[in-house]
Amino acid sequence: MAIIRTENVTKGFGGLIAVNRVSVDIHPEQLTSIIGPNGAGKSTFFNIITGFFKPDEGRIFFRDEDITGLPIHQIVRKGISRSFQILNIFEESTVWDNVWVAVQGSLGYGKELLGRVEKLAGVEEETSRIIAEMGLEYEGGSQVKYLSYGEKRLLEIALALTTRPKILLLDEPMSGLPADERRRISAYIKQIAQAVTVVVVEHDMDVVMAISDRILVMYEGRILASGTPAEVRQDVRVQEAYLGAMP
Amino acid sequence: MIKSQSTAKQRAFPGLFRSIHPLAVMVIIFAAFPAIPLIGRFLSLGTEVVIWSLFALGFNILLGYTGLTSFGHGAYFGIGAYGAAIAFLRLSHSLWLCLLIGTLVGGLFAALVGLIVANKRGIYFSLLTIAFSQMFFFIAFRWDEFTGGETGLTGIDRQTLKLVNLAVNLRNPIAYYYFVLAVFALCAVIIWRIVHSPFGRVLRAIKENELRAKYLGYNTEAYKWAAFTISGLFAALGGSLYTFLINSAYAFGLEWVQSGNVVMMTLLGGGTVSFFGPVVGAAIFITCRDLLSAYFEHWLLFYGLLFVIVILYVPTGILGAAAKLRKKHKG
Ligand SMILES: Nc1ncnc2c1ncn2[C@@H]1O[C@H](COP(=O)(O)OP(=O)(O)OP(=O)(O)O)[C@@H](O)[C@H]1O
Ligand SMILES: [Mg+2]
Repeated sequence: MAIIRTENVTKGFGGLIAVNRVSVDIHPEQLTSIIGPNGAGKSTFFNIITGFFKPDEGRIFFRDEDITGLPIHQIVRKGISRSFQILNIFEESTVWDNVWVAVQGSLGYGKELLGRVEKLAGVEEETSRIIAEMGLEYEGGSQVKYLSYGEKRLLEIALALTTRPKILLLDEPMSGLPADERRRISAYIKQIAQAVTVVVVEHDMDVVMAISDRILVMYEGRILASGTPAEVRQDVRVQEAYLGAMP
Repeated sequence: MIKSQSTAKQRAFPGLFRSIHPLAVMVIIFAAFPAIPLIGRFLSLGTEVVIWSLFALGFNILLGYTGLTSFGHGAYFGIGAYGAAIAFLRLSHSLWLCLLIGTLVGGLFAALVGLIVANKRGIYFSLLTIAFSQMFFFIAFRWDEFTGGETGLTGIDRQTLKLVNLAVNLRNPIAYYYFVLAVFALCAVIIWRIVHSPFGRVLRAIKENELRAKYLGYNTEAYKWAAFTISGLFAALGGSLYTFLINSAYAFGLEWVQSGNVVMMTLLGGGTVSFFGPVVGAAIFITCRDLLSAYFEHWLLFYGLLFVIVILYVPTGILGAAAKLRKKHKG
């Protein structure tokens, strides 16, 4: 059974059709990458799946349950989580507070109008654990804005993971990072993929070829091709439309 | 690991008071007010400051902690005022009951408006809050038989309050001052608890990055609605107390000027950076208003100027500026 299935999902902006009748299955046991040139519709596709946009047409299923049009928080609660192409964290807070509020939500707290934060069972332990896992123990009390860009990216992925997703969608998690930080993140993604279904949008072909079980190629809002890294590499249409376009 | 500073108690006052909870310090200062030379004589001024402090503290749950700028909360103050007045004139002379009814009626209106505005963003949110408050003002102004229209409702009177076997004559302005202060102190504790609770954490997350809060699984619209309604309840309680201060209720209580004033107080004092900002703002604002309007016919000009100066030069308000100065001083 596919963990995510889309049927003829379509989304236009004015005259432009950003995502055009896309029907795909995401298999739970595979690490899937979505590639394609700028403007192909990859981010828009993520935005539709996660409820940021309602599709103009088509339906989205999560484990055979129709989730089309559900509000974001409900989609998240079902087990779909994401990171954004443009970093999306609590920039003005400390690392500790970022993770805390995420963990608090995932443990079902937040409605305690007069409760005491210190008394929430398990939140503190879980927060410490996640921060330690990221290797940011010594940065817990510092403002997020003092972290390196790679650490911020890492933090965003960690935040997305606190909701205990079944599937995690990562939109260009390595863009703008130097090589060593890319390696750190791609290793982290491989590790996450052991437990959670991961879908990555990424431009770095070396990374994509290395980590993916399956690749979807998007072009002008459509799925042009799909297959294993080797298959996609061989595909003539892909070479023409995408790889060929690169110098 | 260094943990968040935000669970630590906020220390608004340095030195002498360090070991006392800042809320207690605030209440002690207010309690001493009638004994202060010169201004201590103006008890109704003091009572008004406490009422507006209550209104502004509650309002700051929405403005300072959730990051939503309502320009219409004067309406809930005014509706609360009317609710208490109408309850007194038509239902019961019990102060408790009238305060309760005023608070609930104002809160109910806030809850209903909140349903419509909670999912709106930025300027649309603010404009809608103004639109609703203007609508309520218009209704209050025109609905003669219920609200007294232009002349308002008069003939309200503070009854003697029975506390166990103690009878407190609230007609005495000092007694009413301390009654209002007691209600305020209780509410301040509640508001403190709210903003420092798990719920309060979510509000701050929404203020900082609503989209991320949503993607952490929080139903942010429900939280925003709750913040709107809660601040409306405190506004309405403030309005109800005000009715018994002036022993009457008028439509001007709902006017947009009231809404603007509470925004002004909250920002002036530093509500975006400190829990106590709104109280400092209310105290300074109400006192200045009384002083200025006594000596200058065009005091509103000063008021406008003050607003401009605050927005331009001290966006974090008085307490924000004070904190910055202290930091500089320390190194
Ligand atoms: N909110 C929006 N409003 C209008 N147009 C949009 C919006 N979001 C995306 N688009 C347009 O839709 C098309 C697809 O954009 P999308 O961001 O999905 O591409 P992408 O494949 O993620 O590209 P990139 O690799 O540059 O991130 C683009 O032409 C883009 O300009
Ligand atoms: Mg994109």
